[in-house]
Amino acid sequence: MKTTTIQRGIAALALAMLVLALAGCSGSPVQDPFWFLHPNGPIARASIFYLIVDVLLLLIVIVPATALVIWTFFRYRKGGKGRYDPTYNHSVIVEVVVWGVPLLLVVVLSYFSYQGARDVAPFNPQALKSAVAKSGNKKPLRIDVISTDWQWLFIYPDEGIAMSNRLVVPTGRKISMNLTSATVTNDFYVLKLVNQIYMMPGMRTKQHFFVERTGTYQGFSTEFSGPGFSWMNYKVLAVTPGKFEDWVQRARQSGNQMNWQDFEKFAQPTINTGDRWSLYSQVQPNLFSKLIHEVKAGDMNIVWPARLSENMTTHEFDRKFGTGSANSDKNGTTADHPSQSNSD
Amino acid sequence: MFMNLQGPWDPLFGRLPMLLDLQYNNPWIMFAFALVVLGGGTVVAALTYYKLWGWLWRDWLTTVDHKKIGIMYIIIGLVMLFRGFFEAAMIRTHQAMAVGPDSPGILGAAHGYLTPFHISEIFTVHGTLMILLAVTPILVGFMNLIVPLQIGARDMAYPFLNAVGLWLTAMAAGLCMVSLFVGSFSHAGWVGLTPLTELDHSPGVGVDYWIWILQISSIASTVGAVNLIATMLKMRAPGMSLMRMPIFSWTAMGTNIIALTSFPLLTVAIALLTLDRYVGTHFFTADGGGNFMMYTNLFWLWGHPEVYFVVLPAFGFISEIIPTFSEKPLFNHTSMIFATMMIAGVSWLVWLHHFFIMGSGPQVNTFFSIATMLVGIPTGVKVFNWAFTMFRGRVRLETPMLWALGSVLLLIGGGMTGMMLAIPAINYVSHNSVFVVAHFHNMFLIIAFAIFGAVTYWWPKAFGFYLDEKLGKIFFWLFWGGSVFVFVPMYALGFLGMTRRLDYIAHPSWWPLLMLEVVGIALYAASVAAFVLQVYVSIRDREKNRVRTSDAWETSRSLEWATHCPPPFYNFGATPIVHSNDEWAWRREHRLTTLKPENYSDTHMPKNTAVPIVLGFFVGLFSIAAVWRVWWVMGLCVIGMIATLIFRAFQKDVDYVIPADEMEAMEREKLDQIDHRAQDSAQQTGEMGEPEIDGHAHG
Amino acid sequence: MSTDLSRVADPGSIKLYTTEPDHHDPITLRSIGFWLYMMSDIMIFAGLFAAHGVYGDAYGTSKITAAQVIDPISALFPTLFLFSSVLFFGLAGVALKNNDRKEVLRWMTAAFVVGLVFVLQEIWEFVKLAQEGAVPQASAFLSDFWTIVWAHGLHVIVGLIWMAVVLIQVLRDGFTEAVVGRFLNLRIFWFFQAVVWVFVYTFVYLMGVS
Repeated sequence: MKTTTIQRGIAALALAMLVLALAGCSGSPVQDPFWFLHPNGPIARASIFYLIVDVLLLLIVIVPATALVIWTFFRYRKGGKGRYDPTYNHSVIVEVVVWGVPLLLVVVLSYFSYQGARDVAPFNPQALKSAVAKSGNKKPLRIDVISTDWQWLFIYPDEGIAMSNRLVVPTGRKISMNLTSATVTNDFYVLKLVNQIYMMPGMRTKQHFFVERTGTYQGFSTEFSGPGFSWMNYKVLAVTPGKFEDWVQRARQSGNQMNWQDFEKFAQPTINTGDRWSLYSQVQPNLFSKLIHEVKAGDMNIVWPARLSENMTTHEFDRKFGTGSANSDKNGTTADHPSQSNSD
Repeated sequence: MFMNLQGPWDPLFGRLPMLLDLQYNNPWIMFAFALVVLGGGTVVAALTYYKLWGWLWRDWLTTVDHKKIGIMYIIIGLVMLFRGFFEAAMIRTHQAMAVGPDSPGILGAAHGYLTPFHISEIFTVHGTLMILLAVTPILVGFMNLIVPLQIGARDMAYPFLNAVGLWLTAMAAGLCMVSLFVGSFSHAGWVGLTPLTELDHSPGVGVDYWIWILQISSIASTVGAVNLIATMLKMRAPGMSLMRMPIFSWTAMGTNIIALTSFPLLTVAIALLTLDRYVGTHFFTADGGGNFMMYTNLFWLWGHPEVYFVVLPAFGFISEIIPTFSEKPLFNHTSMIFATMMIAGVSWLVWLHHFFIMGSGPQVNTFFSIATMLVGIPTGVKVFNWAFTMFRGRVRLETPMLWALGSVLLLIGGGMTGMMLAIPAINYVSHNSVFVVAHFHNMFLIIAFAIFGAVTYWWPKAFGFYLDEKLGKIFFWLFWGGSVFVFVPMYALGFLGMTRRLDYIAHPSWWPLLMLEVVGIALYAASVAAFVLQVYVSIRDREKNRVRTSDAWETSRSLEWATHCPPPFYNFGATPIVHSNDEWAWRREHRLTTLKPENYSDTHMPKNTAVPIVLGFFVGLFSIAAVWRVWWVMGLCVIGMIATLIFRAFQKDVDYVIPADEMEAMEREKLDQIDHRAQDSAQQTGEMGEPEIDGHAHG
Repeated sequence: MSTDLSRVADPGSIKLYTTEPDHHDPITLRSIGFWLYMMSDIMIFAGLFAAHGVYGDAYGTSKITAAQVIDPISALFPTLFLFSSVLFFGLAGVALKNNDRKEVLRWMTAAFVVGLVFVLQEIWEFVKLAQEGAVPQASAFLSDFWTIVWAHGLHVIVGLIWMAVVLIQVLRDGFTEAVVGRFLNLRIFWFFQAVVWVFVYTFVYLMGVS
């Protein structure tokens, strides 16, 4: 009897505190940018759809199982009401049911698993098809994404521009990304917008997405990549196509260049603690493929200090990795980023 | 020197000169150091004061007795569990402090109190030691302790090999303790994320410590698996067919088949990584044609079976405890065996679900998704069969049963989240989030609960007295509370998008949930205190709590209860003959609970030997030399290992005979201590149907 | 519950404990364990061959290809040595059956010498490779090639040490239970090295040049 009363109490308390936590700090969960149950875009929505389907189907087994365990324990506790019959230790019917029902459930789930895997397959997501068709089959926007230790570079090859540590995308248009890393594996993820995909040195992966509403989103890496990993946060600004075009025009006038030498400097270990970003207008056209080639050839020279130790204080750490943006002197001003409905 | 190492290296001391540059200014290291010195010093002082070194050496360090080896395994595991808990507490408190850009930073950290490398090392060592040096040794210890007793054997098939396995594990644990103070530990996650573990990105000695800990414990587990499988195949008591083997032994069988076939793959993965770091090969580098995803594949080819390696014995514990305290046989016994072996088999087909987001095609992902979900079927079967075991039973809520029930309820929750993560589409939004962390901690808590259940359940068998019931219950509720407070908020944080392995928390709205987790950690700390107190009180009151019969719980079912508590070093005065699935229950039903055989016979027993601990010493020294790249010591240690093994091969006098009359004398003394009235009037449950032989007490 | 004995007519007739001493045949017990160990060894090689599937043509930027370093024809010599060593050891096994100590010693010595020649030949081959610049550091393929051949080579070296030990023991103690047990396990181990070499030769040497 004690088990569930206390258990329920604790669960209720935890739930109440959870709600309080969300309400107290950031208004309702829906407005909170960190809440992936409120997706914007067909792929993220597909994932949430399968999450809900999966949970609902699982409850078919989970609810009876929990109920059975708790009920049998109450009913048949010593001194309880249950009839004691120790010869009841085998039943073919029970065996058929407990093997059969989960098996059927797995068969059904397998169907959804395959549909889901096709819908959100990063290289060729089916979930985007209808949205792309509806938006008039516009030419997809290409973006090359590079992660370094521990910054981001987003290159718009068709526009000839690039931006570090911030991503600007238009709504209503399919976006195709190529991704790679300069040193170690990272994992690209924009909460509510883009599903995860590994970014691996010397290899290219792809991801696609489609933004429906304007807004500010959070991007970050989810694969541990070293000491600067926690600071690999950046903002993703989704703007209307018109504003996006304006932004591209402005970006082209920034005058900063990003050729291979600049990139090698950019890729040196840096922790971008201040969310500082830069625009580049003169971008070497083959930077992305050259990076893959150089990494494969072992020509990327990223040097980490020899004696990494737990005693290294942040001060020493700062000195060695130069906390802050490598390009902080070229910080964009507010004029350089598109105005938008949501506050930044 | 083949490799272009950063930092000093000299032929005599290897990389040890690097130590001269380190400053031991970190109070946490000093605190841990003080704790270890104090703890170790107390033990050494006590041993010296009570003149126990000879006893320790003769009775424990050189023993080949499977029960003592099992107990030593469990002690290593519990000590490591304790250390792992400290690390968990540090991660939780640090994360609760380091929230938002304005959060304070102390002790040289920008946020919180741990610097970026330090926190990475802590979560790496937490994972590594909890899995390989805490849970695994405890489970292997229980298998050592219980399996030979359950199958009616006098010892393991290879007692010498058993001791080798123990000392290798002890050396891995020792290496882990050394890494705390000498140099640093790996910062690249317990899975050793390549290419982060390559020399370019981890130039220090940390990854090398991690490598050798994994390698040594992997070899120890393989050795242990050979031993346990051979024991179960060849050493069963007469009459015990495979299908009559108790369910815990069956789970041990499944587990060790997994260990035997999967640990070698870890050996390969780690060996190739070692070559990369020590020789400069190009297996897992991004350049030179290397393929670091190959490491990920090999690692998880071991890593996922390893998950079932640790969970199956836990299922075995639950399957032993629930029937005992429900006073009923295990429901659908054959089905349970089949489910166990199915889990072991399917464990081989699921590894890719650890990296669904690598970018494999939907067909590949779906295959591994379905294979993963298949595991859910036998697991579900087990839950239902446990419930049906209680159905029409007489459930007694003693402490072991409390732990077992908690474990089953946790399994339902963990199973549900596991089935969620098995779907690739869901994985694309939840991979590497703390939702995953909460899920696998939930699964490991099943094991922890089952382990504490097993500790309570078999304690009277191993030591001859009960653990304190009241403190045991307090321990349980504190532990349960800790689990709820830490992991329910963690599941929620996963939905909020929090990533694992964070040093700094960028989003302040997570703070309340992180604080809740700190509350949970405090409850855990209290539960640790309760456990220590429980053990202390129980040892203090051991005379009061002494077990008077062979069957401590009065409704136990398998053969380990058919000998004295604690069992003598020869286990059984005469080998029992098995007549039923649950032999002890069968004997109780037929009033055949006597421990006195018709006659005794000569018995072969293995002699104690110092070879395993000497071998362990060489392995330990080798690994430390390897970490610091002192090649000449490594060479000497290899020669030492070979010489030790050759020495053993030339030892002829490795066993001895206990004559029948001596055995009878020892047994008589033990039988005298048994409360025969209680032993003979064991309560019958009527599970065999209508009793036909009332009143025919035997012996 | 099993039904056969669950209802007992006369409990007094039930035998609860054995009256004879336990007897576990130590040689069978040893070889069971050794077969189990072999299984884990097979997994080690399975892992290495899986890696070979990935690295078999991963040259990176290195100019050295498999065809340049692998010569199946000259690798026939070590094959020959290893197989004759195994054959000699098999003949020693036959002599053991006949309880002929001298014959056993003779064949074992032959097996040992030829095995040693195999190892020396292999060392010579790889020293030559290293001189040509085909070192394991040059590319993933070469890393893999060196590792897989020397994983096998290491097994052969361990086998040789073991063989020396058994040789001395046969010489000193004759066919005691422990020595025969060791001999039989070594036979399993030694035959296994030949089997692994077949795989190495097929997958690494023959398929490497094709």
